[in-house]
Amino acid sequence: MQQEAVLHPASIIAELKKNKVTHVVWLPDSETNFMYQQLTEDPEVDLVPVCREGETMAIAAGLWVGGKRPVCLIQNTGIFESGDSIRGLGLDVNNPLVMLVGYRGWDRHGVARDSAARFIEHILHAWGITYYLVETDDDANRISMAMEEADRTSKPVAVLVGTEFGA
Amino acid sequence: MIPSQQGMQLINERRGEALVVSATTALREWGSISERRDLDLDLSDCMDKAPGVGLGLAIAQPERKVLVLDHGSVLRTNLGSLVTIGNAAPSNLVHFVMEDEDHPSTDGLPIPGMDNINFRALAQDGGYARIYQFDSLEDLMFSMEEVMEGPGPTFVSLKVYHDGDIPAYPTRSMADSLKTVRESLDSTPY
Repeated sequence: MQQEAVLHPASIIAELKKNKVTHVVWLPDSETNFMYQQLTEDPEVDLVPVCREGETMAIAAGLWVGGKRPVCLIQNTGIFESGDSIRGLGLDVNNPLVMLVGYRGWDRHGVARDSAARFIEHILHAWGITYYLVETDDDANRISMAMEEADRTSKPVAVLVGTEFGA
Repeated sequence: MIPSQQGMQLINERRGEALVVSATTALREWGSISERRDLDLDLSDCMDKAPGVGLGLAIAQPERKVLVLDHGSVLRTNLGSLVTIGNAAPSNLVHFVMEDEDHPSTDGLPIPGMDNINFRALAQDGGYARIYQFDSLEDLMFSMEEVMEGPGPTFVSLKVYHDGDIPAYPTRSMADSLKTVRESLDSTPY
């Protein structure tokens, strides 16, 4: 029997904790709400909710300057909205920020009809931002790879979360 | 109305070991007044994000006061930040917003809707703990201790004007200012 391949929030949170992430700066939405319950119950990682995605990079920059280790959690549509913040408060200031990005419209086996999915990788390429794709629990360790690369290069790195989440 | 640079002087005299995030015209004036540039973050870019950077700092450094020197012209483009800060409720954050009528950030061009925005009301409804507005230097001087020492997040609207030329932007880059503050905090944990 083929085992269902899913991604559980616990796998992502375990990666964040393994990398000593202190804060998740996020915009609550249907695509990235998968971790809300578990993160709010976890004393090791604090949530910082925002009103608009472009705020996440600014808050993360302040946390980073203040000695913390944040990540951002937004949807791919939010990456489009956040362009100036990623440029100015990520790339230009050498901020080693990992951005967890809900890959709305992603379909490994079909045609991506959602422009949010069609454009996101091109946009990241345009900025020279490396990205890792996470679809199942087996991929979760790519978050550690992203964290290592962000630290090594002092640049933002994206993790595209292309899946529906298991409970 | 408060002469803007004199208002900045007052803040400088009271800032102590506070971290200061400043942007747009406030940065231009603050850069020539501050005596602790090792604790100043210069948002010479992404200027509307000064509140967000200040919030991140305030959360990361809860024992240290964080001042945001903002300007109405850029806060207008990022009003949600008032709700974000109100919700996070950092008690150590003081958010100063310069409101002037001569619009130096657009070289005097009118900014659509500026006269209709009540920043204090938005901050109040967004969840700031204390709200102030000052339009005289004397009132600001007498209230600075209360403004700086009380529990935040605190919102302070300053009605200002600019007497004389506004200084140029600091020559150091935004990246350099962030690096400097990171290193200062590493070497002098609070």
